[in-house]
Amino acid sequence: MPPAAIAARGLGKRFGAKRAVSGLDLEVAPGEVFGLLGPNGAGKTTTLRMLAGMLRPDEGTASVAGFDVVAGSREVRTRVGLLTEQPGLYDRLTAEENLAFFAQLYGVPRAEGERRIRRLLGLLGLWDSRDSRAGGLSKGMRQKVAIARALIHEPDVIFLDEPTSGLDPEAARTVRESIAELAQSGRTLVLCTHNLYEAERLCRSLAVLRPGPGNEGGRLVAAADLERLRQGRGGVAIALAGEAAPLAAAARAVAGVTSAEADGRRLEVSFAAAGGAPSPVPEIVAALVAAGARVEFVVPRAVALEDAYLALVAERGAA
Amino acid sequence: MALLRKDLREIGRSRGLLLSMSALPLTMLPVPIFLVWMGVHASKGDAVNLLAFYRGAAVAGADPRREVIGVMIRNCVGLFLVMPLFIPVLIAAQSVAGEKERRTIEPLLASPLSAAEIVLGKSLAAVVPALGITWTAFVLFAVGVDWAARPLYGRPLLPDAAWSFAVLVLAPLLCFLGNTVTVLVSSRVGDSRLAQQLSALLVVPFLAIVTVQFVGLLFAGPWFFVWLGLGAAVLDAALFALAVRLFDRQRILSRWS
Repeated sequence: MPPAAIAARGLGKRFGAKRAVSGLDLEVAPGEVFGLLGPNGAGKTTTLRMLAGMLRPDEGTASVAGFDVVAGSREVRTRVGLLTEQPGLYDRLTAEENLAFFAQLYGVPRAEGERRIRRLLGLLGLWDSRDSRAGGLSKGMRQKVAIARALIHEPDVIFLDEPTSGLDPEAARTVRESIAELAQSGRTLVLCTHNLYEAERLCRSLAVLRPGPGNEGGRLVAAADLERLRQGRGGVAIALAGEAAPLAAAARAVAGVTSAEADGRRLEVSFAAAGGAPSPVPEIVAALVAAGARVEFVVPRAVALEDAYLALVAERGAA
Repeated sequence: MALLRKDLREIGRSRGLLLSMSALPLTMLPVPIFLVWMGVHASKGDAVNLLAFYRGAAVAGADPRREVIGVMIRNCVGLFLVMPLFIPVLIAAQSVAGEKERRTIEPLLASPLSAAEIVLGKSLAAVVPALGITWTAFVLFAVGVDWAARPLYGRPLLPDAAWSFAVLVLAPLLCFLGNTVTVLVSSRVGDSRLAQQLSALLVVPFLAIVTVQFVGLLFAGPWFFVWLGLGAAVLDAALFALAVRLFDRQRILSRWS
């Protein structure tokens, strides 16, 4: 088994009295497209900055691309590409000059840098805008230049911090398409986002962080591949002969049911079957019938990542 | 070097910054040249009165106008040195605190560059253009003074030993001092204008010395400038080491990005 591209054990970081992250264990295999999910304040960006060799962890250890993030922070920074939440381009320089500058910073030889700039700008559909000042580019184009900047030194690991944040839907879509292409390249990608649609589309495995109470800092609540996160979670839409609202409470009372929402004559029920227990659908139907319902039919619902994510955050929050 | 080249390119495209940098020499140069011209065309009586103001008495036997011009040119050394001290403040505030303001600092901090390399690159980007402007301004100043003084002297007055020392030794040291103080301030504040205003306070004691010298209360002889150079060299080394130490990725990221 190849060594992990990213491995963290008990990683923690505090800023003054406030903990930003605590006790984070993480393992990402080479070539994996990994999502780091969590609400604002869960410590996603701090985690990413620690893994990128920019912030020193206060607790635990981490290695990225085979180098310790503290002792080998310079080597880590050399092997990591970072797409920051803000594109952070030099507005007075052209798109090409921005890339050439970073190619030089990462020690890419001039001729090779020019070749990579041509290729990346071409791939991202920016070749015609290469001589435009970055300040004059649209938000989506700026973000794509920033993606090219994160790739200019051909890093082993790429961190993408909220890559579509603040973009209009069209720009967000083009950026997502660029990331999807990048995901095919075999590099290790870590996508830090609270956009679940984006994570579901792009990532094969995920970690979910949630903010701890008070000053405890963000904690890891789950890390697994997408299917495992969804496993044991499900939902059904139940069509009834009469109004669903008076029967919702009967469905909620069944063990494992996380929500039951009435919509006219339809009842939307979500559940989590803990510990590999069988689906509670027969019990739900039985409970409804016992409460006087006439069930016409039951349709299974595909579980969106959103359901799994919200359930995870809510479950662990209550724990 | 990449950081230096990038910053120089950005400076070259910033009209506002170019204008501020050139404003100082454009306003400072004509006045001393005009004063030398006035000195050359003044009556000997007026020159004697002026010398009496500075030294209490004129030097017997010498042309008092020459003495007046000599005093003026010597006094201008201090005034001229405000330029290499102040221009780097304008540039460095933009290039360090400005990176935070424009949110370009994070990709730079994510690069393999060490804190020392970033501080050195930023420093050179402030010192190189400031020295270029200072030296160009001196050439124009020398040409102007020599032209104005020629009717009385019949030979070029500048460059002399004092000015050569000031321009070739003191100017680079003061450039570096102005820059390092600004880099230090910029790494602690997140606003380029605030960094500029705080760092510009460095010029105040220097201007006070120049003013005292101009009103005749201080005679800044060669040793004054030698000590000034030594002091600036010591401060440059100490403040640069401190600037590197305080340019902390962690602090910058946690407070300003």
